[in-house]
Amino acid sequence: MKKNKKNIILIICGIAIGFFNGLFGGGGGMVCVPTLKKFVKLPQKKAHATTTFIMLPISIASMIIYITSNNFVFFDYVWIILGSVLGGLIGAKILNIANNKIVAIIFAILMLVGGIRLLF
Amino acid sequence: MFLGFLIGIIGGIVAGMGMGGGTLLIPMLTLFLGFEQKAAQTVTLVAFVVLAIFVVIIHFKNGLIDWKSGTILAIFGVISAVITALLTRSLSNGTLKTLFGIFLIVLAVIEFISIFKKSKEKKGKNC
Repeated sequence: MKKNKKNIILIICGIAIGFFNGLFGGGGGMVCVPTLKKFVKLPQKKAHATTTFIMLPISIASMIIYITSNNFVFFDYVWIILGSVLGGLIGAKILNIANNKIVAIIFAILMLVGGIRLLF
Repeated sequence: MFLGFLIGIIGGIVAGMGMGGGTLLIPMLTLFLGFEQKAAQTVTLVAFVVLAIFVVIIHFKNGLIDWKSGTILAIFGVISAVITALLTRSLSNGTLKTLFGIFLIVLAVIEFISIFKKSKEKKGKNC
């Protein structure tokens, strides 16, 4: 792929990733991972690792705006945040052991159920 | 408090498995803990940032980060996120919640299609 064409695609994808992160506070990874796999030809692990690296500054930027726009008291939510960190470390360990297909199916079902419930 | 911790763990596990940082945490916070949509998104962002700092350090040590593409995507992502986040302030919690619900359903459908395609490919190879 020509370098210029690839760079343009990356710019567009970057804008899309930022858009979802700014609008929803998440979901950017869903655009980022396939982008890296398809256009940058990164292998699975590198795609996920680079995605986390990309999402960090993007999330920090969104976070600052969200915090300053809403009344956010860190200590009210410290348990949720601690839980997330712990869960993240557990999840990373499980990643190697779990059957990817089953996990993906469960995840898709949960998203579908969650989405439908949010609409009503 | 305990429920929040538990939900945080579940959300974190999903994130740790590379399944999309906040995508399940946000609906869990709104559906089970009664969070407003914007508050749920804010907490999720903070949780993700804290977690991601550790994760990125580990990935960096393992040499798994592609700096070239990562930098381009990050720069434009940040600009886009800032503009979008500022604009999102004018959306109501209710509207944002509905949009997010639709977003999750779309993601779920894409995920199902992707799983189905992969199954087909595997079966094809075995023939």
